[in-house]
Amino acid sequence: MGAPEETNKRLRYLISEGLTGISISCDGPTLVGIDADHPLAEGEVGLVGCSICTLDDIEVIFSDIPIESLRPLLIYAQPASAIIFAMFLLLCKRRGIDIRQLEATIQNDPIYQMSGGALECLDKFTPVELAMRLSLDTIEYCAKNMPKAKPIGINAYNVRERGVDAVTEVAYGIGLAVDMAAALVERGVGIDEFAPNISFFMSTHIDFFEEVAKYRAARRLWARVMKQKFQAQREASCRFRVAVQTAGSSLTTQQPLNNIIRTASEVIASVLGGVQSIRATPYDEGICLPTESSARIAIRTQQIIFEETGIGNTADPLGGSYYVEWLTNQIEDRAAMELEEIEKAGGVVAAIKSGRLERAVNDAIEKRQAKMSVGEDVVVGVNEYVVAEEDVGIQDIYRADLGLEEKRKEYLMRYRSEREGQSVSRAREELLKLAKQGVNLISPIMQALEAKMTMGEIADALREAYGFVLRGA
Amino acid sequence: MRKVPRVVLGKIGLDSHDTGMRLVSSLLRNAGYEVIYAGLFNTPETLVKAAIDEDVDVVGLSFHSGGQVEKVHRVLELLAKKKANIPLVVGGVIVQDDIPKLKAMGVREVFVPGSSADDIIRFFRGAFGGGHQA
Repeated sequence: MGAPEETNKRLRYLISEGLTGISISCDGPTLVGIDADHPLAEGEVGLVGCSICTLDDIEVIFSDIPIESLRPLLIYAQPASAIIFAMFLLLCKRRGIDIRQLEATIQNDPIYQMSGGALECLDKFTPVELAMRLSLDTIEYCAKNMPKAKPIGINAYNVRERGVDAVTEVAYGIGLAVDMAAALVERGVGIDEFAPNISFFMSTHIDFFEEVAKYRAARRLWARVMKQKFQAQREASCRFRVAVQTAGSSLTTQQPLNNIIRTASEVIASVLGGVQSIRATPYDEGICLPTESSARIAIRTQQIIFEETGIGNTADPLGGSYYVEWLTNQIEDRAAMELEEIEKAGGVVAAIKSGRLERAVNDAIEKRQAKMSVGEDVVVGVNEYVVAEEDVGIQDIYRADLGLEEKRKEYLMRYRSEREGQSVSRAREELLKLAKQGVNLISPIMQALEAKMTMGEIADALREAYGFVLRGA
Repeated sequence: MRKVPRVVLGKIGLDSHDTGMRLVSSLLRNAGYEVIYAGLFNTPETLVKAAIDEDVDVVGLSFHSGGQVEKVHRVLELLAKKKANIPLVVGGVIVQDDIPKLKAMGVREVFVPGSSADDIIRFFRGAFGGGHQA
């Protein structure tokens, strides 16, 4: 939802419907780390999620929401991710919440958080070196101060949703985790201090058995990498923990109610694959932000599957099936090979910069289209079983409030005029200085926020420390 | 119009869902069009500048996060200011209500999910000529 106030209202509604974890989608400007009044934010404020620019925004979003008893989930791209994490820490401090006990999850993925064009997105708004550092800072901060937090969820979902197959999803997911783990070890953080809290975020697509096998294969590959490459001692370090979302890209804009069935099938595959948590994608994904009704059906889909079918009664119920075991071996071998190629290319960032992932994505998109156009891949309602003139069947399409941009601009102008100019510029100088040194930036960002610097201003100071100029303004 | 019509394809704003645009780009290239791929993160200004500098015959815009009516309006305004009479085609996730609005503003065609490759190529041939024979 676009405005912090509106987001707070929707959160309270969802909690009353039985929600146990909360995550706030942000809008485009927040995603790329600029304030709502930045020239590049024009026409984008609140369009696809909430606009978050100040510490006060976070106060409003979580007002009257017991964050300590829910499991909050922070999913943002860098540099906003580290800044919103710092806002969250300050919110806990103000409320007297003990962060050592908090089961927060921070996605904190340094490079995969943008939906498209990994190559085009990589260095467009934030230098990748800064993004990587902020993600490592967040993990290091949590390893020292928040033992129950999950400070990294590698976002292989977005890689997959761009079109690549299950094998490439596993390889680039584990590949990034390997690069980050190596960097943390180099910083002097012990592998067993942080590895148990590494998690992955993946997409459960429509090919049922392949998805079940994918999670089984990834689990084996990760355990092997942790033992052999990093000599992890704790068993927990070798556990592949994965949160999944059912594939938005498998859903169709045509006959959208059919998507409820697709999502249900993907939820079942996820459970059989043994994942740790699931988000069912609402059926109107291809049309708009979820409405109250589609969000409710997505929650009910999971509740019916978990609480009525008995599907969770045993772990790995498909283990021993000749087909699933064969597929698991196949995916594991191929993913291990691709992982090796990524390592040879110099790691995930280097592999993306070389255009390797880009080519895989383009090939996959074209191959899929070719298969669909000759009917080799059937998509119900798209290339088969099409209805001529259809009523979308969604009565209450969510439309963003286009007046929000002006409101947010006015809000920011007020926010900036009501703070003490001198302490802001002092905070900026201090942040810039520390960013040029190698220190962990989470505490300095908290100080900057307390001096009332905005998210965009902090992001800009960090970019400046890296000699980076945001183009296009 | 030249023998091989030239098309610029781009997205305006911060949305980075580019799968559809990449696909249309390769479709048009394979069908014999020249595609200038302006890619992600354009502003109306940069996109119009590219269209004029590259002397294109068609501008193709892709949207997946709403706000298309306002953005297209801005592009048309800028094109008119430069006295550039270049036709506009829009594709992506466009809510139904916006389609007549966009067309009334002068957008030549709007392709939503479900448009087939054939639909798109047939339209381009009919409207702008060029392309290989089917």
